[in-house]
Amino acid sequence: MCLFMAIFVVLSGLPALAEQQVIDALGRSVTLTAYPRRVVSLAPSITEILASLGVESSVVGADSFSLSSWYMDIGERLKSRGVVEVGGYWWSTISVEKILELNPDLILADRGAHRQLLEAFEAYNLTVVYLGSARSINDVYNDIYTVGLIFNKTGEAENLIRSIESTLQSGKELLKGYEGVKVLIVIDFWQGIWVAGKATFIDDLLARLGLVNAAVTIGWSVVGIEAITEWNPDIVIVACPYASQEAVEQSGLPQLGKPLVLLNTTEVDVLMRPGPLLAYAPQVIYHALVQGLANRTTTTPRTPQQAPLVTSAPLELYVAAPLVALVSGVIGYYVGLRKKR
Amino acid sequence: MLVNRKALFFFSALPLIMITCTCALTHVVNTGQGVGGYLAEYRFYRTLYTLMAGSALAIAGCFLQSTLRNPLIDHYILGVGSGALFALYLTVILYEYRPLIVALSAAMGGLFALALTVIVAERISGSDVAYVLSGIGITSLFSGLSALLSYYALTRYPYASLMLVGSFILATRDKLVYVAAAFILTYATHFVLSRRLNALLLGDEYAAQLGVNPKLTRLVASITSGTSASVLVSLFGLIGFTGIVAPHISRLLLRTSDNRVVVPMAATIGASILYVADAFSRAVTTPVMGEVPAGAIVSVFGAPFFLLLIVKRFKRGKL
Amino acid sequence: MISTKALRVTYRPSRIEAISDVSVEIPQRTTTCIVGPNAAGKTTLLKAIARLVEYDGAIFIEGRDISELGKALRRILAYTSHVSVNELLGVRVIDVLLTSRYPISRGLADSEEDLEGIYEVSRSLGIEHLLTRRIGELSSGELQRVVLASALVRRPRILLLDEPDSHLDVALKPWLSLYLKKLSEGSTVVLSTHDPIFAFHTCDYFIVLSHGKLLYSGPYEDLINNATFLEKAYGIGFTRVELGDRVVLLPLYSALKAHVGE
Repeated sequence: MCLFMAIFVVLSGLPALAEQQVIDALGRSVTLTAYPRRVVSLAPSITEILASLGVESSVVGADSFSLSSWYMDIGERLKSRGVVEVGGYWWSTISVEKILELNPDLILADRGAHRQLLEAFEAYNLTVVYLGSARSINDVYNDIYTVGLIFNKTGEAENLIRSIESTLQSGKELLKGYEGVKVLIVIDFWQGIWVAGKATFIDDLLARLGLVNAAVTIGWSVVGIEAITEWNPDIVIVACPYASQEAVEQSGLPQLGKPLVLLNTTEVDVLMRPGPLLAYAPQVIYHALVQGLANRTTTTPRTPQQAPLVTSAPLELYVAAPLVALVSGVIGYYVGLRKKR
Repeated sequence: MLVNRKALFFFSALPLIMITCTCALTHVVNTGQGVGGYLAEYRFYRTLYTLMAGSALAIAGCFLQSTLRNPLIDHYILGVGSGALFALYLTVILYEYRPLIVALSAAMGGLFALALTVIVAERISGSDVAYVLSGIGITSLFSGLSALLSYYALTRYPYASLMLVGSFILATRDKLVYVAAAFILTYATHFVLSRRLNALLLGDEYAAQLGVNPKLTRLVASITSGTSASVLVSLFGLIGFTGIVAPHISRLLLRTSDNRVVVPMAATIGASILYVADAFSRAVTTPVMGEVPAGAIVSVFGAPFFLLLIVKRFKRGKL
Repeated sequence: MISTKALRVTYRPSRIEAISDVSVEIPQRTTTCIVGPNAAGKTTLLKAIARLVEYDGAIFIEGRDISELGKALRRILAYTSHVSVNELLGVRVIDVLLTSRYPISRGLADSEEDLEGIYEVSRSLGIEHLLTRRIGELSSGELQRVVLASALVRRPRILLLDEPDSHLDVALKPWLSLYLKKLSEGSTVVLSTHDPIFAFHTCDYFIVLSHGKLLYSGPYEDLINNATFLEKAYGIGFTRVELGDRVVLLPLYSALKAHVGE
């Protein structure tokens, strides 16, 4: 009897099983009845968050990019633990079969890249929490905190958030000499030039570092060299590690006459992953700016950019062709068609 | 309508007049704004390419509509587009992306698909519906194969995806030779083919007794259309509907089906359509959300028109 | 004049001989009728003379082998059959007529000559008012006249007409008959038809075919006096009838009872 009592007392001292509700990036309310022991992560940034919060050991399956992540040697450790690769990064290359075989209690997915898999996950009764395609740094912080909630590591999450925030602050100091510089971040060259526009976390990042995002469009958008000329950036940073020399040249960027800095794979990872790697982003950007705008000093504040020459073509140009066609057609009518007796 | 020498000369020159005038206008605006260097060049080439591509595709559409006596087709429906795309992916995977090689293989891919379509259609019955059905089948075949290949093609050459929708965003100087070749090919062939196509419109037999060789004419028309369409697809992607829409508007405006005037008029209209679609993207959508490919814009406006055509056809009681 | 020697036409895929060993001599500046039951080879004979199908044997026009004539053949003769056009392509009558001048017109543009030729023919056929109409909007009678006009616009010396009287109403057939007879004063007209009344009123020379074989070729008078040729061709009885000032051979409906039902 006393033994039972003792065991009961000991057992009750253990951390209580938490039932909690989490609102994910799709607005779904997900109920978790236990701390997850078997987790599948579908994005490298998510895996990096898990590692930073110290719950990496719960990962049983991850995408291919996670398994090659160099941050904190995550990739190596996951591989040596025998974590299963489930495909990735894009949803169409994820193997739902492999995920099912792993029998996970939780899947962490990215809203932008894995939305299409939701129906499949729900059909198989898999618990999935979506983390947001970050539109701002705060969104990234929210994601980190959500993960912290799920794993009862809110303390660690808050620490991580604070440390990222403080590197961003010191980054702003570091870039004081480049305040107001117009930066354009190019992320790919598919049938045009893909840039990070407004309402992306890159945009927010630049703003917090005291820089100006040259891109005027909203979201990730594709533009031609004409629009970029109009935006008149001071420096163009290419965050696309596999872009061929030819692709860069075809896009017309070298002819812009502005400094063009190409980041390597590591730097691109730092910049493009909305997770703990963001802490290193200010340094990456600083090095790029130094490389590109070599003759800047940290003390002289930047004078605001002069208004650029108007380079957008007037509307009249765009109606030129149909106008000419119309006029020719009318003349043609009088010349040719009226000849019919 | 009677096409006398003056009318013929005027209409034949129409597309050239339009292209020259619009490009000249672009140049004038550039100079007026003090724009120079690469930007002026980019604008000029982009204008030139949309105009030339629009013309060539419209002419190709006229050729195919006349030779196959089907007003509902253009190069896309006959599988040329997806065949070229498939060849493009294959080249990118097996070799690498080089403009000349890719343009050649895209042309061959498009022609191969066209040949398959024609062969299968003739096997069925050779009627216009047979051609559309055959074309849909061949297009699906190559689209499916392209989808399979796209994953691998993407890793070698990021441009490979999104080639599905035509865009003139990459208007570089090195493309000039090919675009001009496509335009000149269709435009020059028009002078040889138009009268023969007029005869062909009334039936193979009718044409034969006039002294026009129907099979040879069909072959020349198909090869010309197919080649130029394939080249343009390999350079800019798939641009549908211009080939269907422009010839129809031309016939409606001129109230005739005489190819001697319909073809150059369609070329002018096709050039305008494509130019305006591209301009719409550059002027309206870019400041807000980036470029929307011209091919998409043309499809948006072309699709309702196409449906209208089909409805009209149903109303007349024939399919 | 047109002559064929041992003409044979075989359709490739089915190996059927549409015409076997037909030798005829069609006189100049007359109207000639080719008659016979369905699949007798009437259309095939016309097409062969127009060099629209491959044949074995020889065909001569005015003493010259047509296989050596090349493009010149198209200036000499015109062949018509039925025309069907997709309505949405908007082909108009004047387009058809202008296109039909292809073998004899010079250059890409149309000349005054072309226009005059077209107006002349349209007037004589009474289709002037139809010139701007679309083919699809015409009645079958109007279409037949347009088809005939398309052959005439290039003033051929030889007209090969495949069933030119089909779709024509009772009043138009006599009109066409007279028209063709007048034409034959200047050109050689060869036509095929199913209508015996039309045939006997229009033509002076006859070719009777059956299953690709020649049963009779000769003048009107001889055929009229001997109904056996037609009876053998059609497998049905014929009788002499006088219609006005012309004698015709008409099929005997009652004779058929012998074959059907008993």
